Amino acid sequence: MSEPVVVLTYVLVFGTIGAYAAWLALRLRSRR
Amino acid sequence: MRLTTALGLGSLAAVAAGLWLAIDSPPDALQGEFAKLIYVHVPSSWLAFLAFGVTLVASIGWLIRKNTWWDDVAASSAEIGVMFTALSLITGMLWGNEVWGVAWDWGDARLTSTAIMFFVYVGYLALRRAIPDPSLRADRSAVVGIAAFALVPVVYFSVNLFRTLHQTQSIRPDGSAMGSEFLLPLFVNLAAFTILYLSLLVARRRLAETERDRDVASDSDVTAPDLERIANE
Repeated sequence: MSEPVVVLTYVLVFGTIGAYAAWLALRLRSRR
Repeated sequence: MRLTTALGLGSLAAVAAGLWLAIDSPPDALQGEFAKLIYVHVPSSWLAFLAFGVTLVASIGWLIRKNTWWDDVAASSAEIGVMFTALSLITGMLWGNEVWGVAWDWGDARLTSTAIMFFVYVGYLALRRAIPDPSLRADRSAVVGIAAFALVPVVYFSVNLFRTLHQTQSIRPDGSAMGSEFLLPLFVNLAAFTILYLSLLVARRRLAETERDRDVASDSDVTAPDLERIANE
């Protein structure tokens, strides 16, 4: 992972999925 | 342990394993480190196809059974599919910019058909927000959810039908164009992303169900003081 573009892409992918999962978890918790 | 928690923990462990294998995999002879983008680009594309396939099946399920569970699954899966289509497009553009020298080419069949698929499913989600009546919304979006799936085979086979910029499939029934040192991390990441998709789908469907219950409660004539009185009786 020495190329900055590769690192950026991985951060982008897992950051997006993580943000979506966190949004889902917060919405579910607030509606219980 | 609840299903969402179990799937969430399972997907975290699988994604960690996939990430470790991706980092540890050797660089490609031609593309060097950029080849490691395959471990997030291909699973994102796979999940887009899988998610839209689930939307197709759930849309048919709604039309046959008229049970809201099917409609919630169709909507939830389409939303997740749109996210992974966007990720597939962005990772493909970043990869293409490095190895092709261009991030986008409207003349390329795979890129253009994927973009069309993305906008059609964004339209599906917009349609759902535009129809307030739950039954009518489910009926109309089920028709779109079924028709839109016709784009999935077009996107998948576009690299075979039109030989443009994007390469053909690396893994086919007659063999693989990739070495085994690249296949293991790819398959582990494909499995990890699939578990991740299931985890997101279960949570998103549950949220859709609670939103539906809230809408039903707000549409009824029962007021908060009424509920309090009923609870005290």
